[in-house]
Amino acid sequence: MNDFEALATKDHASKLKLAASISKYYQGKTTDLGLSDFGRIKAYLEASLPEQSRFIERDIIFAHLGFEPFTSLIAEGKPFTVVSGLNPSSPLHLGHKVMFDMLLFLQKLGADIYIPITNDESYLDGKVKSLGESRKIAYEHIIPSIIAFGFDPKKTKIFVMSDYPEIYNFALQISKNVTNKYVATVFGEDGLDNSGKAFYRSAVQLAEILLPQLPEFGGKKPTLIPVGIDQHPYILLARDVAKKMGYVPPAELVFKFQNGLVNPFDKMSGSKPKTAIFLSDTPEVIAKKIQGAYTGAVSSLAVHQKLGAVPEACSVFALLQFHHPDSAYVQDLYTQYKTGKIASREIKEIATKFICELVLDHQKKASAVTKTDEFILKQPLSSVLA
Amino acid sequence: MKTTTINDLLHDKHLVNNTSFQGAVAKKPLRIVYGETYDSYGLTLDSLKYYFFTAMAAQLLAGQGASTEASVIIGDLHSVKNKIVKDKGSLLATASSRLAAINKVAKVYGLSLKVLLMSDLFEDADFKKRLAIITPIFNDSKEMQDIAKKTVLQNRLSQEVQSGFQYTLEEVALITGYDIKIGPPREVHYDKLAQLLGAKVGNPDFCGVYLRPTYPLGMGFDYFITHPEIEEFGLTPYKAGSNQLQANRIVLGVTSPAECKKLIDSSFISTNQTLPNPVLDVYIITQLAGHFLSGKPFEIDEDLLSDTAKLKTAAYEKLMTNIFKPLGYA
Repeated sequence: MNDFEALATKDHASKLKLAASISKYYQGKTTDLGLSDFGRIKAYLEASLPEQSRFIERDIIFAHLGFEPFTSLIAEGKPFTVVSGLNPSSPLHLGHKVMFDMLLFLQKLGADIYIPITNDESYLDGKVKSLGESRKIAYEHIIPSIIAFGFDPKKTKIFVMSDYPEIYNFALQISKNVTNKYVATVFGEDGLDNSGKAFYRSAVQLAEILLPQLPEFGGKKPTLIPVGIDQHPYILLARDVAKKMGYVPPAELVFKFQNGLVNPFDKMSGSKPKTAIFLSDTPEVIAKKIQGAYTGAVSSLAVHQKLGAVPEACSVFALLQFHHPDSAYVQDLYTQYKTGKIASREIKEIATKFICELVLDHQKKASAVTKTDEFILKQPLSSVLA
Repeated sequence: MKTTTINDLLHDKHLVNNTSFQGAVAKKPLRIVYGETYDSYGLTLDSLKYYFFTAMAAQLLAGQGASTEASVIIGDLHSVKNKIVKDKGSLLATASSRLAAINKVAKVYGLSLKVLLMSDLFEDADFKKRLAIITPIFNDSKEMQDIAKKTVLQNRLSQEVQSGFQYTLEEVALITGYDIKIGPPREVHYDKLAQLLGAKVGNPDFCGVYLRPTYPLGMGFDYFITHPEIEEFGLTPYKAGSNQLQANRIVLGVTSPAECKKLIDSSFISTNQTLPNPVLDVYIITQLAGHFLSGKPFEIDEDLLSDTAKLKTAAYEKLMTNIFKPLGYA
């Protein structure tokens, strides 16, 4: 073994270590945060759902809190409610697409979907210069992009926070049930460095979560919140406050982050463009980003052929893992890559071709969106003023 | 796969959950026992699984040269012990009809089983002696008392503690008079006590065989997700009213063939063998019945395990031909 191969062997070991760390992170979070592993429910859903979901098959959903009753609603074909929003500080990227694909999957199972677009949060967190800027991003980029995913307008309610001010009356009601001390315990002082952030985190975000339980939307009901693990404190707070206020505590479905392109242990982030592929990126930009992405393969072909790649620590393979619809194909690629039969160059080519097609198709659909009004929530909230 | 030896039977993963019995044929006569209480709803199809299994274990051991004696104990006294049981007098009186029903099953299928009443066995001097020996040992052992707490459901724990775990001690004194006990998975805790106390009453080799849990029929997949304890331990096989799910059980002479079909057809089942499969259980019971009716080895058609529709059809058809018809319920 020459020096180059020795270095590659060492690199392979560090990639294995990285993969183990990622796996341990999710397992550890599940245990530490008192979540339930999704594996038990997965086995039943795989055996009973008419259409399989890659989120379940590929363990992208890995934990939950209180999801069990939703399986009864799904089994009985009864509707249920899902809330999941986003911060409009940048155009949507593939990490957002994971969430919206999951919402679509839940809508097919009977969910009414509420999508708060939290431009107030973007502004308070300093991700945009003004509320107007984040509002513009929401209407010009985010909403057409969301609609382009194929949501059913009858079962989808989108609202931009600055344009739905009545929700702040509800937030005001909620704020009386949350002490400053509790909020500081949940979020820490750093997350509350101005009074707007404190009000947002302790009340407004909870109002978004509990909104479907107001009489205007049919009253108290089980509500499911699909989230990344970093959002778990919000759910815990919402569950506590819901109990206090007599609402049904929301349940949580936790999914893995779409791995960032630079470091697979990080998530894609709109504020760090190099980590993410945006749904507005051109094929040239996508190709360049994938070309420079972190992979699970070592640089020596001989060592790669001998030891194989580490797909679990590969940001490029993750693009296929999270987005390619064909599970058998993804599994086959996984095996070939892991056993060194295909090189990282080929994985990059496959991923570039697939992601470019996916993004171009999405852009085409988004540019064809002309009617957004039927998705926008306009329901007045008189009950909170009663 | 055909079951022709005791080893095959004990390692049938569709039938046996786990066992501490390794299938060794001892020189002494092996006393095999299955005990059950009952409720007012009648004899369940699931009880038949235990009668058949007990008789078959004895049959296969005998085939390998062991001297065996297989018994079914009807826990008449324990059936009325729970405070919530109403009309204890009439339930106790049904012990004789239960005894007749089990004897009828034994006769129709040619099962070599002794059917005994707990009330008769409690009069036995050996039983009284065992109870007298184990009670003080148990009372002095926190470890054993902790195990005993696991034998009862939470809602009956205070009643059991108040009585000094009388139910548990009687159960243990009874089963330590046998070598092999057949039972559902939840009874593993009784048997742990029996193993700890067995040596004190001259039975150090006591062991247990636990069959796969009994699940309700006619349930969707969500039922099992929302009831993890049922998923793990199942229902009480011999009590149709276990968890008040009598409408989801096949009760002999009560559930009509049409109701059975509806229950089977509406059950969630999967080809994933780790998930509850009450229809497979029906099929297995009918195959055990078929073995005793025909004398052919007990066998599970593996092809049915990968085809839920075919399994449902086979379970219903064989239920009619191997159980309802021979017992006169068709």
